[in-house]
Amino acid sequence: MQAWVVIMVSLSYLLVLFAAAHFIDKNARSGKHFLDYKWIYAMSIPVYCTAWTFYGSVGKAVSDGWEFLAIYLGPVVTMPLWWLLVRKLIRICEIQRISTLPDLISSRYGKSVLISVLSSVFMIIGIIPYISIQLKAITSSFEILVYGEYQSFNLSSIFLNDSAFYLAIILAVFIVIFVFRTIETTDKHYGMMGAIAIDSLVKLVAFLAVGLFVTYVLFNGFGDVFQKAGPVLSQSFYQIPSEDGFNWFFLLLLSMSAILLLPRQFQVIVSENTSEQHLKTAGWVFPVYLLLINLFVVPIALAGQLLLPPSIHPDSYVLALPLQEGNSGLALLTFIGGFSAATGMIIVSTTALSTIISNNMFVPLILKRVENMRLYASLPLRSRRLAVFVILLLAYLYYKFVADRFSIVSIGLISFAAMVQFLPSIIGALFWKDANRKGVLAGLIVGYIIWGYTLVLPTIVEIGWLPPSFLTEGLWGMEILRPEALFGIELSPISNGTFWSLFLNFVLFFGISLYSDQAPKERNVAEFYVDIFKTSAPDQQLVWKGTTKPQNLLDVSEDLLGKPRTQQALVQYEATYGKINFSKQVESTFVNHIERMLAGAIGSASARLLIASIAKEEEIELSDVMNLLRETSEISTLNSELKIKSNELSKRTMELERANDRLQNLDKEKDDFISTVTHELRTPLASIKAFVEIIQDNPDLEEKDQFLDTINEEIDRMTRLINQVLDMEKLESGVVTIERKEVIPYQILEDSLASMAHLLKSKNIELINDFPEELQNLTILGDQDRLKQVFINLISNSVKYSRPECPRIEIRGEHVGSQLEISIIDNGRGIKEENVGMIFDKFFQARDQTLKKPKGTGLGLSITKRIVELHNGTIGVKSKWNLGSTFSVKLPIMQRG
Amino acid sequence: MRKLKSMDTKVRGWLTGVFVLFFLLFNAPFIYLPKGTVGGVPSILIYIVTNWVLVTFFMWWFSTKSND
Repeated sequence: MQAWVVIMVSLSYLLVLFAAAHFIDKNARSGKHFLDYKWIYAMSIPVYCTAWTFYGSVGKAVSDGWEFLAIYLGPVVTMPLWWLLVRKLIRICEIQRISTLPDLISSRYGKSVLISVLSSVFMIIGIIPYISIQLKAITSSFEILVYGEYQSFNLSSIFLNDSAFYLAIILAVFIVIFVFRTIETTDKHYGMMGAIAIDSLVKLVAFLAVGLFVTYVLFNGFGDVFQKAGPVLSQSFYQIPSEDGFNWFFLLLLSMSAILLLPRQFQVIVSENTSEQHLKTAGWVFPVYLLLINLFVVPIALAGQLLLPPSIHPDSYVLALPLQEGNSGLALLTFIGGFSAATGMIIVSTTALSTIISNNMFVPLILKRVENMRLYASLPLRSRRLAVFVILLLAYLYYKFVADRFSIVSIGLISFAAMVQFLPSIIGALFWKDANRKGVLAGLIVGYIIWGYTLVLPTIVEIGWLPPSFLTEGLWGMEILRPEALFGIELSPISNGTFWSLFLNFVLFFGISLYSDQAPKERNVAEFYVDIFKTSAPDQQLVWKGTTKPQNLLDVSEDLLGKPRTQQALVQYEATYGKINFSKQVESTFVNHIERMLAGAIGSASARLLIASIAKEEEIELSDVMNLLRETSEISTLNSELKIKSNELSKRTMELERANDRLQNLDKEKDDFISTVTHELRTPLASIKAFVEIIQDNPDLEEKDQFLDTINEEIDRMTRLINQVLDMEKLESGVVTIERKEVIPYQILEDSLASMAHLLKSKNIELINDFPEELQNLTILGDQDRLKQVFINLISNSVKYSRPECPRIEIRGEHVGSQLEISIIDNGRGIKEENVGMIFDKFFQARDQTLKKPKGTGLGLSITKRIVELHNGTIGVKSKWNLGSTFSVKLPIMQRG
Repeated sequence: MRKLKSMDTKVRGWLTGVFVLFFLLFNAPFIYLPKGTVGGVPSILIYIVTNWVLVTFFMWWFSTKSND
């Protein structure tokens, strides 16, 4: 392929990236987001997948089988912890306006300049090689695409003769334009994040395209690839060899740490986070991404071994396979995918490292030497911009002189092992209040010495700058000090280096922290960090003692942050704490507030130095910290008690609301009852009055006797109604109690039937007695008269609603569990389905609009039900319209013995 | 307060438990167990992808839950 084509496509891609970044940034700052930021956030985390993933994974799969996957499984396994761990980090960094890992560590451990500088140096030493392999990946893939081969370690083309050099400059310009516009490092870089998200998408699509091409065009699927590879080539993919157990474990550990501790990961996950809730989306999007981008690594590795000549380096299989098959379009897409993977990493890492150099090394060192930092207010931003070029130049040189001799993965793993040295200090910062500065310093220094000795020195031996005997015979000729098998333990070099460096780091960090003193100020910060979720007013949590005027702090803030930003900080502060009195000495809360604002621009260590240079500070004592803790604890207890009281109040309110609803229902029932009863009394009274008037006006009326009979009936009806109302009232209020004597229900039933014999005969109702003999003598505890009332009511209802032709009433008995069930079955009119549920309601008949004239008071069944319930029994009905009804009463049988 | 604390502790416990479970599943000795092939595809690949999907599903389910 022609070089100019590749260069044009690459530049066009970068231009598109620039344009997208500019567009996203511009819109975000005016409050417009064309896509919910949570998706951009989630898709920027795959910046973790660099040229190492794109090219190096295949190479690692060829040499070491499944081990390549440990680098991606580590982050997947940590996902459940993100809500606990990462959220805490985000909260701390948001409140304290921290944007880098060294800043976090320095801020937590006494705002120490020494820790700030050391951790920055270690981080830069660890990451420069990682950036260099990205440059290598771009250069090598370019040369393979254009020239068909890549000549490694070619020092004849360097600087102006080298495309990698121009690439480094272009990227440096991009970073300066889009990232370092203002001094604030805690400003969100929406444009950069958008560009990274686009990169993630492009590299995924490119890799999937190659994977699908290899697996389904060159072969017939996964099974076919493994089958054609045969047992020899694919042996390492049938399982993980047990002797690689330690290697696998350490690789997992490295990747579990790296996903958060790498500067680019810290930048996108913590510094660029705008909402903690976005972690939940990222928690599943990122594992899906990792799965997809690794899906075809093994088929590509096997296909490369089958189809490509041995001279092709496995790291290049991804590009070489489509090239060999003559698919230039796919090859170009693959190149762009690798290009985006590498450039994404370079942009974010360089951004992070430049901020680190400026805030954690340059500015603190300047502050220690100059009287008035205000004169050098523009220095932090300028130093950051300069650092971008310095970092990329160093990375370029490392690539040319060292990295070019090694595989992508081997250099990458060394960087991972460098980052894992921060693990003890981060865990201590978040969860252990006793972790202190001395422990961190000891752990970091020793950890990095061992890291350098076991992992970096062997690479220097490899390139010939140290004699080989250094590796074979060890330091001072002592075999026990061989770098790749320290103290005689034989592990893979990366496992060996990781184990010893991390082990000694942890031991010193833990041991020295435990047995050394912690300064009160550091203790104060430790309490604040570890209990960050309990903090509501951060400016009140940190103790400060000293004297200065508020205007002094505002002046220095204006010089560094500018007037608008300073005014904004002042307004924010006064909204919480009230107006500042500029004639008085400054409050500690204001000092903390301004210090946090400054930390967002120049780092916490520098901000601390700046404040110390303006104010006359006093030494914090332990008693000051303990007093604050006591106050905080009291407030916390009061808050808890308030919450409990508030919950109780809510419960009481709900109970009151329910009681109110009940009262309203009862009130409505009472109104309905009064309305119905008065209606039921008024109707017969009106009828009586009418008949009396007729009789008075016509004393000789022929129908006088008939009318008098009707008047009598109506009076009887009213009497029955009043009696039943009184009866109902007594039963419901509990005035009437049920007499509990041993009674035989069957006998009571027979008595009831006997008292209604005349009525049954007059209506020609056939009575069928199906009551089993063995149940006829069962006894219950009950009131004879009341039970007779129940049976008479049920039987009289059956008579009342019996059909004119062949009327029939059947009596049945059944032993159901511990109860006697007595059923009265008729073949009368029955009850409509929609009314069955209401048949026992008071005055149901009066409300039933289908009845022209109610046959009764409407209280009979309600009274019956109440009586049965007072006997601890139940009553139910089954009925079908025009087919009859069955009323069943269940009463508990008396238990003997 | 007790109720609120127990909810927070429960969530922490569950998340930590799931992490420990998958750390073990992706580590010795479980990851050494799968041998052979299924339909021509190595069993270890199926084992890894299955557990990978499980973690992803758990994280998706967790994301559908309300705050804290």
